[in-house]
Amino acid sequence: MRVMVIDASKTMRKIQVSLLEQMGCTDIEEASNSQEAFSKLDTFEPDLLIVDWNMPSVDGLTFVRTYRAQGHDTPIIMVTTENQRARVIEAIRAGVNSYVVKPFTPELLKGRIEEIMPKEPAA
Amino acid sequence: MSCSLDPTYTSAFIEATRDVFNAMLETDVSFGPPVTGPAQKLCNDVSAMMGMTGEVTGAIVLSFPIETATRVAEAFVGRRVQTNDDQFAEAIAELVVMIGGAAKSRFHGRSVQMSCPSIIIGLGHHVRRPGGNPSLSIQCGSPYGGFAVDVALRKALTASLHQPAA
Repeated sequence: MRVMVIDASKTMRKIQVSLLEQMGCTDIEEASNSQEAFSKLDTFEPDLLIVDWNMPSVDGLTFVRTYRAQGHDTPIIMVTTENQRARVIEAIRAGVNSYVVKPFTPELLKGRIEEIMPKEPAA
Repeated sequence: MSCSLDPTYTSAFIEATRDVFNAMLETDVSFGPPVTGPAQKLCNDVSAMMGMTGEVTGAIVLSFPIETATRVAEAFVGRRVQTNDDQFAEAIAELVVMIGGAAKSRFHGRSVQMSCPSIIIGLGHHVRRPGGNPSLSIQCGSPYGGFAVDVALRKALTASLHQPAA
């Protein structure tokens, strides 16, 4: 599974990357802001994006809207401290597939990923 | 000046601190008796400060001795860090953001925005809040050491959180 983690915090990216590696992901790209993410997406086609809402300059929600407007249907998980119902609805309307509120346990993030990623067909 | 503070704020910040340390650092936190009243003077080595505005207005300070801050940051980052590492400040900042976010989720639907956090690193620095606004100070214990969660709130907006939001 190819995953892009987009978060201004190197610390939070490291936590998420570590979890993804434990899940067996070996193809992981990181971006610290939306501009860097779009640049890397020119050559990296992820199966999943994990996006932080609060990023400088272009926030995660705007990134999601722009990404979806480009015609991409890649699953997106938004990670944020915002858990008010209106904000969750706003994120879903923007095109987010799932939502993780900080603080989160590794098990919670892992569960969200497993929920939204298509299952591998049985051999 | 008498300062009455809805106990819901106390439980919101205690539960938030517990949740953040449990989830992100996989550790328990113990809490001393919360102290409410005029803003306490804080003296510590590392402080993370963040403002709140909206239907609840105030500021949060998460304050550590240097040893506790270093252990907490290293646990969060997963490697040894120095206080002048960017990731040291980032780790401490993430903690105050998450505690603030988790606490505000317990404000019964009130609309609250959080500012960007600031990290102050200076041995024995003081944090003071002039004006005598009501505050809440919670001394916390953890396997990494003790620390404090201090919240100052504007008196005019310390109405009971049990009143429904407008």
